[in-house]
Parts: sequence; C-alpha cells; structure tokens
Amino acid sequence: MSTLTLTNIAKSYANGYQAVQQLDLDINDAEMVVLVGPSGCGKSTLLRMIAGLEEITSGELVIDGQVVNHLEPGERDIAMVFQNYALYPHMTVYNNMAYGLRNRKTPKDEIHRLVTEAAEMLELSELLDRKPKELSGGQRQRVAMGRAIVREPKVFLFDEPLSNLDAKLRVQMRIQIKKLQRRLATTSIYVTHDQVEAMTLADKLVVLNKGNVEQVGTPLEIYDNPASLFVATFIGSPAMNILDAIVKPEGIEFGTSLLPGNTQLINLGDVKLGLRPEHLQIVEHNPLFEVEVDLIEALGADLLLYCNTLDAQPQALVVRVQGHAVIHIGDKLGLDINLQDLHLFDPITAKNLYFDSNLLQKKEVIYA
Amino acid sequence: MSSHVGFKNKWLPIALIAPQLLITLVFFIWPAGQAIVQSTQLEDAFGLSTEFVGLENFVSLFNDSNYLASFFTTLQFSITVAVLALVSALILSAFAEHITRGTTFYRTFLIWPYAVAPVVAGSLWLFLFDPTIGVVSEMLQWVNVDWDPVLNGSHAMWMVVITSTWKQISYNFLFFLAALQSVPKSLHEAAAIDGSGPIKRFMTISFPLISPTSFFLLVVNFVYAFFDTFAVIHAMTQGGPSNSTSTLVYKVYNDGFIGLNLGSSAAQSVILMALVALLTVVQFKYVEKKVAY
Repeated sequence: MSTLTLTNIAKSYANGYQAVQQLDLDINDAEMVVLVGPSGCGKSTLLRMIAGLEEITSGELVIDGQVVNHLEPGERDIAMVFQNYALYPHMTVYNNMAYGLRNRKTPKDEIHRLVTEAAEMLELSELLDRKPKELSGGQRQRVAMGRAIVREPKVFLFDEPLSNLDAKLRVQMRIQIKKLQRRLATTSIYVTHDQVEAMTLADKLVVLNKGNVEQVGTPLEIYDNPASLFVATFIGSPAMNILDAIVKPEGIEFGTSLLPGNTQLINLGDVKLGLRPEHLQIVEHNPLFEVEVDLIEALGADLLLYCNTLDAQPQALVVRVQGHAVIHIGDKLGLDINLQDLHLFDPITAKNLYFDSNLLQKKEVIYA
Repeated sequence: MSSHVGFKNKWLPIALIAPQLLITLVFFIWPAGQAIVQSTQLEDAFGLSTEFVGLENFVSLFNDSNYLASFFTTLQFSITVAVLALVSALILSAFAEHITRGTTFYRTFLIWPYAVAPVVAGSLWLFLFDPTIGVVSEMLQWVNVDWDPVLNGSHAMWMVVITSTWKQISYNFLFFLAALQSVPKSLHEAAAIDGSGPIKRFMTISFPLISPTSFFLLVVNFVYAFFDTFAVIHAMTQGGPSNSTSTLVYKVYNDGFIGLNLGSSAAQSVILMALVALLTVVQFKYVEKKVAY
C-alpha cells in the first residue's frame, strides 16, 4: 500500500546542466509506472533521485505521505534492480538476498523463510549456494529481482533491468516481471528506453524528453493520441510517418493531395501531418495519394513498405500491410486513410493540434 | 592458424632481452652464487687464507643467541611496519576515494614520500626525532615522554618503524586506491539501498572485494620491511642501541663489512635468500588463485 507524489522535482548539476526540470508525477498504489525516453532524457536520474542515490536539487518527493527528500536510500523502504544487477560477487545467492534483511536486523529464521520463499517464486532454490559468477545472465537477473522482493519494500525501482539480456530471454523476463508485479501488487517504477517494454509493462506510461514530461497516460492513450511530435515518433515501431503539409483555407494540402474541409479552427500555414504505418490502406480506386515502393522488409506477420510519395519533392513514409501481400519494389500504390487516424502537429511547438477530424472530408485526389 | 606473433630474425629478441639478462646475471645471480660459496668457507682475519668448513657457519649461527635475537627483532619490526603501513594506507585511500575537490592535490602529496630516497627519509625523521632539537621529541615532552632513541631501545625501534612505515604508506595507498576504485559503484548503491551505512559498506563490500590486493600488499610489505629498510636503519640507528634495531639484513652488513666475518655474513645472506624465495612462492601461489573473485 504505497503511493508516490513528485512535486516540482528538478535536478541540476554544478556545471549548470539541467537533467530534470520541474517535474510533477502522481503514482498510485500497486501501479506499474514506466519511464521511457531516449538516452539523456533524465529518466535514470529521476529514478536515482527517487532511490536516494542522487540528491534532489529542488522539489518534494513524498512516499506514503512522508517527505523523503533527505532520507538515506536505506531508510526509504525501496528496492532497486540495477541494469548490471549489482550482485555482491563475494556472496552466495542466499547471502545476496539476505544482506538487506540482515542490515535491518531481521531474525535469522525469518530471513531463512523469506529468502527460501522468494527463491522458490523465482526458481532459484537450486542455486542458493552459488556465487554470482557461476550463474547465467538470466539467473543473475532473477537473483537481482529476488534481492528486491525479499524485503517486501514499498516501492520497486527497475533501472533498465533487461537490457543486458538476449532478445529471447528479455521477452521471457518481461512477462515474468509483469506477472510478479501483479502478484505482489507492489508499486513499481520501471525505466527503459525500449518502447516495446514500455508499452507492454506499463499501467501508466511517462514519456520523458530532455528532462521534461512529454506525456503521461496509459500505453494505448499515448499511442492513439500522442501529445507531441516527439511522443508520436518515439512510441510505435515503425515510427509514425510525419509529412509536411500546409493548411489552406480550402483544406489541408500535402504534396499534390488536398484534404478539403473547414480549416477555420486551425491556424493557416505549415503543419506536420502524422500517420501510423498501419493506418494507411492500399486501395485500387480513388486513392488519397500515390506512392512508389522503395524497399520491402518482410517481418513474417507484417510487411513493411518503405515508400516515397509521387510528388515533385517526394516524402518518405512506411506502410504496414499483411505479411503475404504481393507487392514488389518499384510498384506504384494508391493509399487511403480514415480521417480520424490523422494527427496534426504544430511545426514550431511540435504539439498535437487535436483538430476535429469531422471538419475534413475526403474528396477525390487532385492531380496536378 | 596460430595467433602467435614471432620475430623472423632470431638475433633481435636475444638483443632485446640481453641487457636485462646481463644485469640479472651480474647483480643477482653471480653475487648469490658467491654468497653460497662463501657461506661454506671460513676466512682468516687478514684475508690471506680460506678454509672449507661445510655447514659450520650455519650451525654456529643457529647456536648464536645474537642471531636469534635479531630474528625476533626483525619479526617485531616487520609485523609492526606492515600492519601500520597497511592500515593507515587503507584508511587514507578509503577517505581519498570520497574526496570531490582537490583530488589531485591530496593524491600527489600522499604519493610523494615514495619518491624520497630512504637515506634522505632517515635523516629527515632523525631530525624530527632528535632528543634535543627534534619537533617530535618536543611534542612528546608535552605528554611527559622522555624521548631518547640513542639510549632507549624501544624508542629507537619506534623511530625506525615510523620512518619505514611513512615511506611505505604511499605505495600501499596507490594500490588500495586503485583497488577501491575498481569496486563497481553500483555495488555501493545496492548496499546503500539494502540499508547499509558507509562504514558497514566498507567492511562488507569494499574490504572483501579488495582482499586480493590486500594480500599482495601484505607480502610486499613484509619483503619491504625485511630487506628494503637497510638504508633507513643505517641512517638512523646503525642497528643500535645495543642491537635493538639490528634486523637480519642490517646484521648481514654489520657482521660482514664491519665485523669482517665474511663466512657468517654470507651464511646469513643465504638464509635470507631462502626466505625471499619462500615469500615469492607464497605470493605467486595464493595471490593469483585463492583470494580472487
């Protein structure tokens, strides 16, 4: 039962670099919050501030109604899983897990019970007498998890815990972490740069960029309604297609295509138009615009078509179609969209304009 | 395919190792051989005749209470120097690791004593410890210690111990600092989150992890105290008063070059050589294997 409240949290270094700027965030009980962003966005710094490993320059961090800004890491009742696991190399798996409990003067038989229980949950029972160097990557990862859960802390912190594992193991561990978190119902904060991990693990997703929160929401909310160009291109793989377009009194024009409609509610001028690859449909008749296929990536279930628009200044975009579509490099395709799938972004502020797609109507393509 | 990279010309590698080999031969192997030969001989006081006596020199050494006393003095001296130099260097490096400002300044000055020649260090501390003009003896007066290393054997011993320790701390400091820095920072962080304070972290995480370095330094410090402190003792006490600071190495010099009992001196050298060999074996055998993670 624990909640976290971050109010105006900021981190700046002696050289003036602002790693995290005026950040607000509420984390509910038993919630899995994922902090995601490119490297240097301040996500790890934020996590380390919550852990107490970095000093908080300004702002207030509250865990369960208690301000913990000036508490030592050990006094915050949190547990952290490090990217490199940070297992104590000179201790056995058992002692690695028992170390924190011993520091808290837990009775010996209680330690034994907790460690054995956690080991069973993580299938580590056979390995309790081994030293970390005798374990595989996945086993080390599980020991690191065991060390965290054995203390039954208020909050779990995960600092890119899966990035040292190979792809297959990463997927397995991802699922295991999710199940474990559900089962223990412990408030968790998870840092990653991998947007698949972020989407799959998060109850609440926090997208960070340059020390600022770009957007907070459920993974699907963020996927469907990205608040900014940054979020739109960061979440989703392959990334959302962004095309240059112009808002004119009679509609939105991109290349030689025009989406006619009432554009009074949008400022006239340049605009960025966002389209997810799976929202583009190939049509035989009456397409909105035409493209030429430049490259094809076959992923099995899907086919990714890297195309260029057939304009004087071609714009690149990716189309996702089903895996066995018969399409060749050099093919010319007509594409169509549903208007509600269209996003418009301000080219200067990069914010989503959340325009009312009902104002647009699709008419025939205007060929030059 | 072999990954071995070899020289095509067979004279080049020989030319490259020749200087080192030559130095080893002239300054180590040859004198060592001489010592072994000489240890079985007895020479008359004028150096006119030598006589083969077998192991007689060794037998008389082990029946000589002075020699056994010197053994004890050396052990006392070496253990004190090694422990003091290791503990103080460890404390200094533990603190130096956490210095954020003026790091270079601290580290540079902690390393300086190593660059001071032993004889110079000896004279320097002899001044400080001088019963009449020394700063340290003046300070000891304040706490009513009548400091007199010229007549008091244990005072003299402390004086050479402190000087030898002072010189060795730098070396230990360097190794400890490097070892502490190689302990991953995330281990400290994990331990901090596990509720362990700075001192407990040092005792339960850092110290066990640098144990290979500690063991290596222990052996090196023993070797230093046994063999490399001759100049300090020679400059400060000449083994006195009444042999209270006469270590084994000093006795080799004293018996051989002052007492001119070359046979006995050589026999002592041979015993010391055996000791060095033993320490070296211990170091190679254990440092590499046993205490590593």
